[in-house]
Amino acid sequence: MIRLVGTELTRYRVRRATGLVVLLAVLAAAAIAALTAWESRPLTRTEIATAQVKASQDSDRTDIQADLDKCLKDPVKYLGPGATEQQCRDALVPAAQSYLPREPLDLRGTLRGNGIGVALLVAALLIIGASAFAGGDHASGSITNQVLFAPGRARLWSAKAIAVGAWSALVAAVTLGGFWLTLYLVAADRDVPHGSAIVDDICWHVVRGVLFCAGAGIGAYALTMLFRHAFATLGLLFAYSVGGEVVLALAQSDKVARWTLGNNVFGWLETRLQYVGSRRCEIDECPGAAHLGHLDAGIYLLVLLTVSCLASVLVFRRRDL
Amino acid sequence: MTDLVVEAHGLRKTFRDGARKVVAVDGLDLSVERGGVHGFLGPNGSGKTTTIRMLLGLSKPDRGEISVLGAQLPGALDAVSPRVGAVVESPRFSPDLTGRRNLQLLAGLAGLPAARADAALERVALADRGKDRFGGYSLGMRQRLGVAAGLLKEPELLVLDEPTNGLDPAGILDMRELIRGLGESGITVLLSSHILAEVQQVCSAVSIIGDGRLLAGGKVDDLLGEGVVRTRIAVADQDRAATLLTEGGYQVTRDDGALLVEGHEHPEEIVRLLALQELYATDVRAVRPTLETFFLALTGHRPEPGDDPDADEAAERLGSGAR
Repeated sequence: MIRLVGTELTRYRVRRATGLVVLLAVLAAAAIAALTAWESRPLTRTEIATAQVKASQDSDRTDIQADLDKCLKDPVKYLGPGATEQQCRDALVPAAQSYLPREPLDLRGTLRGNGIGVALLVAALLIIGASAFAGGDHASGSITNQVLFAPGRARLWSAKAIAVGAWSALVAAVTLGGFWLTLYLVAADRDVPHGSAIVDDICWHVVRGVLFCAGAGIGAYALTMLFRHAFATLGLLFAYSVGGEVVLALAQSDKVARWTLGNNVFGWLETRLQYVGSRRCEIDECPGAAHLGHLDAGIYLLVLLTVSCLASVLVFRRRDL
Repeated sequence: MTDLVVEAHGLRKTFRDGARKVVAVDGLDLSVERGGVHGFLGPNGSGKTTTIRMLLGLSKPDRGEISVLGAQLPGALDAVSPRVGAVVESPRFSPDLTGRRNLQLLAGLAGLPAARADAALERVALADRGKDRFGGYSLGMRQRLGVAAGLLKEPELLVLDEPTNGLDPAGILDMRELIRGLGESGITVLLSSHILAEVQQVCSAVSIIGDGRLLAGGKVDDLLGEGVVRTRIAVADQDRAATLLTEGGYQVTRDDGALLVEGHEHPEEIVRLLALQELYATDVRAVRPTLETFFLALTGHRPEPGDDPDADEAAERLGSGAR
């Protein structure tokens, strides 16, 4: 079996489409890391001075002064129960902070933003690569040749699945690991928060991302072995993910939201997902938001993967080639 | 007792074509003796490739029994597969890899040592091109690499499905010699082909199928021995000559600008009979039965141009009345 997996791994690895997927995944991760670092680069003195000037100018605006006077006269009436004069100033007097052209690097924020984006992008590329691999075998008739040399179809199917999963995991580990290592080094260099708590969250996110990408690759492979066409797999995944959102919109029920592919993917990848419908919320941002944990989302995705694999291997064992 | 490497009884295979049920193979019996090259013939759509796929375990029969190398399929497929090599339809390889690497990967699938690739390349005369990319191979080289893939397992039975498709005359000749050599080396080769002249030149025995059933089978010499030798006569006035010979008690048919007279025991009498009426034969020759005439008599079907473009092209290149 190990030899069979090794052979399939070589067959998968040497394909042009696979090489292209790896190249695109590495380039995408590198580009997003570079973009994240660039968009959070330290402020220059000029930028800080400009922000201070703008804040000062806006503080002198009559409309702002009028609002401030109104608030100072009766803070409770203006801001609500318990409000103080200081809170009026904090809320209404323009601060230089608000005029800065960008935020500093925030690793925790990146975990919810570009970090998820990179994981999804890499997974999408690996889905295409795995579908092209299995679809190519069927379209070219190569699968017939392979079965002639490895007549145990379940064994052949499994060897291919292991090869796809291992390769996907490796590519994901390199790209996601590289992405986060780059940002960690940037954060350390800029002396923004990068302590052990956030590093733990990042590490677990990378582990979940790698498992997600491996599962996505295997799932795409399994579906393509079932349908024998890469486009059928990609179409089904698109229809399932978009269809879930449409059903959610039509049903207008949070119970449906628990079962959409999108929410479960985010539930798995995010450190802690809170959602209302298909909307992701910051912690405590949305009243009545539901929480979807890693275990629940993981079980959902695992069930989808298992069903796809079982259907695929059973059909492949019985199918006439 | 004959040693049969392939034995099939009552094979039946149906397919769904929309709402229609298509019977591809219908109660086929097949026997292939050990050694030599066994031709597997049939008109297009007669069920040859479907049968081959069932023999190789690629598809399952609806009914019937298959025994390959003494073991029942599909139950014993794992045990039989290492002893059977095959090239089904066009050989498929990765164009970006060398011929040798492609073979090594296939060997890896079967758990065979990678060194087998070199031996197989040697055997099909591709040893010096093994390091070249498959994408750069000519059609003939691709077909030979396909045969090399079939030989990787050092099989007792080699199944070749239309191995000369698309080859030029030199390629066909090379392939024919290769197949003949394999048959002589002790491997049993089951050769499926549309090109009857090719089959006749390399096969010691044939099975002819039509509409999914076995129509005839046995040694080529035995089968053709059952055919009648005829005399072909070219003469200027064919109408008068035909009338004269028919009145003289001969069975006469027309054939492409000449007359065919049943039998060839006394051609001089036919010539004399015609000459007496001042009809002078310009060409007289014995026409022996060929696999093609035998095939046509059995199937009532001459493979028509367009049935199989590759076979048409190959037959045209052969230029020997393969069709």
